[in-house]
Amino acid sequence: MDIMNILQPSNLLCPLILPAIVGFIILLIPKKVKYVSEFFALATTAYMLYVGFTLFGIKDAAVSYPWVKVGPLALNLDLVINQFSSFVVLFIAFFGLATVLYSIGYFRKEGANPRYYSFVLWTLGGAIGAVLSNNLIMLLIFWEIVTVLLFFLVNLGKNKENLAAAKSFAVLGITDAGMTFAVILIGILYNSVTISELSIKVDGFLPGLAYVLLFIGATAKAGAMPFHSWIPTVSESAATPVMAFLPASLDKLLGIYLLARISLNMFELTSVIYTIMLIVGAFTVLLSVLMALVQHDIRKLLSFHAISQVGYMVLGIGTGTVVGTVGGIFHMLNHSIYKSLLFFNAGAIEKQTGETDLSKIGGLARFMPITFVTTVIAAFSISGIPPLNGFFSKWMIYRGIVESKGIIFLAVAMFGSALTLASFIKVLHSTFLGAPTEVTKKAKEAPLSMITPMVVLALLCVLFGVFASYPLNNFILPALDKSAFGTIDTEAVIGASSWTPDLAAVLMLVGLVVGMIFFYLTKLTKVRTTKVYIGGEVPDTSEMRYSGVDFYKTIRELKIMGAAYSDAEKGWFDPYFVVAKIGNSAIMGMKKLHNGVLSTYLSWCLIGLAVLLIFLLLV
Amino acid sequence: MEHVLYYLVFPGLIFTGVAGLLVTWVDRKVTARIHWRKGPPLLQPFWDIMKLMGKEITVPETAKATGFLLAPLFGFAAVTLASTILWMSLVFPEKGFSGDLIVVIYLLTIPAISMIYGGSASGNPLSAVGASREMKLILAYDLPLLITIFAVIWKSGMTLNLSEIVTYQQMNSPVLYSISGVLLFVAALMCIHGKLAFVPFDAPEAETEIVEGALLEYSGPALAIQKLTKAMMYFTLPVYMVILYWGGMNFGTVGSGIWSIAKVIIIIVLIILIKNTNPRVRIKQIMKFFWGPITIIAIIGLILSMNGL
Repeated sequence: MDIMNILQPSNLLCPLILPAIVGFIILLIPKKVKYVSEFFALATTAYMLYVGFTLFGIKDAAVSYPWVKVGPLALNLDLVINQFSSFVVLFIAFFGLATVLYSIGYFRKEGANPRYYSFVLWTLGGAIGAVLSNNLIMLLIFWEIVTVLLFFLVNLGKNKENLAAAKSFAVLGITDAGMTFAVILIGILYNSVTISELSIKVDGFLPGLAYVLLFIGATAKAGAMPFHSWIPTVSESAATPVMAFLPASLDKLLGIYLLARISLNMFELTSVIYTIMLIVGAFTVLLSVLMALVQHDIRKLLSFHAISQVGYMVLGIGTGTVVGTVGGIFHMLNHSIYKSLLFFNAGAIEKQTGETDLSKIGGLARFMPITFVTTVIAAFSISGIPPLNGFFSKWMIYRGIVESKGIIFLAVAMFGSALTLASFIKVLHSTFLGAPTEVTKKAKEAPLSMITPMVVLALLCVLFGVFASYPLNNFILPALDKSAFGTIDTEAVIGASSWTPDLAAVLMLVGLVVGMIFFYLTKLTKVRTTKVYIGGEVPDTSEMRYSGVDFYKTIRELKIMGAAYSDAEKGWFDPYFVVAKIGNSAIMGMKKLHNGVLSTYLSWCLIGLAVLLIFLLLV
Repeated sequence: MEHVLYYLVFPGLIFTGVAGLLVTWVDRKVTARIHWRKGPPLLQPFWDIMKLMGKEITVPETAKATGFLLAPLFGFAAVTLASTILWMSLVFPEKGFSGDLIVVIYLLTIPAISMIYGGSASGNPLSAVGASREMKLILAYDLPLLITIFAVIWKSGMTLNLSEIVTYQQMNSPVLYSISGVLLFVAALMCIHGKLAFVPFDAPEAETEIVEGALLEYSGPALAIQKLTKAMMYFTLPVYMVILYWGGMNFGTVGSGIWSIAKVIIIIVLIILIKNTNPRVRIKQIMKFFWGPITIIAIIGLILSMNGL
């Protein structure tokens, strides 16, 4: 097997080995040489996207390389590309390219850490490896590579980095350990760890445990409650492109991909499991969006939304219906698009003004018009405003929920959507609209290498909404066809042919044009600029600025909500914090016993011996 | 192409626009009679719009002009589309699609969003206050309104299709004619009232306090479109209530046709009466009212309807 053969785009090993090699080459480049590592990273990710397209064209292939063989344990590198993994790989490669391109602009002044691009490329290879592996143990290894690299990437950030990185690693590490246990369990129970060979009926305790552990691992990666807390912590310190790359897009693709694979292919689920998924989804949607509503820091706010949107995906898959599942997976794709776009926008604001605190920025729309437009599109998309992509996938999830007769979950999901809208109204008002501040008056539009990925992603938001049948027919429906649902009736899933989202968009456009004609018939050309009217006061907008930060103070002031908020902010909904508290008090208790008096130790030993003896005598 | 015709003429733009302006005339006339005044002539709302169309447009210097002027158009286009979908489910039931109910719910939120956006884009602090209150108002009424809608979905055989909901109610009995139905109707009426931002829930506009809030800086044709959008909402929301909670409309015979229109008018008159007999309350009180008693009423309605009452 020579190296040129491996680098053929149709070779399944190519997207794994190429980034690994280039990553090492980048590490060797001395720091003084500028733009070389950027060039290497860009060229590699561009080639990876090409590979992604080629693999997407192949759609059905499998290779197996014997790797380790110790006694009875044989570990093969089984790679399989099918309809599902091919589209996930395509988008992973796409987000890799977008992130690298964006990072070049983002780090242009101070220069990126020399290791940054290596880590990004390795993450890319690891993620694609996890998607392609057909062997649970190999999947775990790749999965862990992504987790470790997240730790490293967060560590490159600015402040408090070690704490945040450690927390993300602790939370993900524990859930990954759970997954390892589940894989061992499956290996023992069913004598196989090959995903395509497994079909496990969740009827007893052990298969149930295996599923739940895998479920926790997948959703912790994606960021569903209760293992969500690493995302907001990471957002405080990681560089913004890292946020856009991992928690916003790649971790969602990986987590939901695995969730869909285990739920649809590997396990046959019972209604109890589906109900648990619905409950987890509903809680995630509601609680984290309520937290997002009161955040002051734009990146922290976005990170809470990154959690709440996972709730929709889990809800969609948890309905167990075709429409809901298709919607959930479509939402995964849409979320990766608009959430990485939102983080890109936040990064552009951060770079151009030096601020991420919502109360200190404002009126940026005039200074950064392109960023403004892309943010509006992304914000309305995540809030599910028709005809953008977020609306379409949510609409399918709602229909799935109604089909599964879970009315109360529908209420939570739709109300969560209204709260999402509210929180993005706050973002739009306090960053782009409203009155400018000292910081924002000097801001300029972001450079081209940051703008380009933003515009492409914004276009995708619109196109995937207006022409939603295209991504559905090409990516998602083929992926689910002939899985747990048998052959899928396209017509029933997308909607009747008499009314499609593109028609609705055309009609909205007609309405806009009619409105424009109204304007043109009158005197739009003679627009007069006036001073703002503040009830007769002298307008001094810098003094009388009304920042969006306090938009929802009223909600906090309501009694029940206030109590919930203070509990949440103290960390009582965060297992990491709770476990730390319990662990701490346990250790404190033991510390008291450690008083250094020899006679106390001896008496403890005697008591222990006595208990042991009594136990042995009785048995 | 035929859809564009539906959208522009009937039941879309022209029909909804004219009907909406007529509803505002009814509103002003009844209000005037309550005040012991004579009230305006039938065509007054049309003259008002015509007059605004002829006025100049002013844009405050702090505003983001394009967004400020475009925002009203989005609300206008959305309410027209919502009205079209609603009427299509009555007039051409076979053209409905699964899930159109959700599309309508979302479309009917867009006018409020465009108000918020416009107010926010104007750069006026009073408009910003109005915008934030409008958003809180949406949050307040959305929760109970959604619960009542789900109760309706439950009662109408678990469908998200408007025309199927109407057919189900006409085959069996309208949602309103049951204990749970009355509760749901009352809660929904309050929510609709909030959606229209009328007194007592007019905190986002509050002429005497923040000078019409988000509308403050609008003038000329832009204001005309805002007013027209509001008028169209005033007509579309009662129709929406009749479809969901009161068995829809039926124009099969003259009698049933008159009764169908009477249902809409009854709801409008109820709204006018509430509006004219209550004082304005603060936004915090509004949120408490909707998230407290109204949500509880809606939940009781939902529970009762799940038990077949």
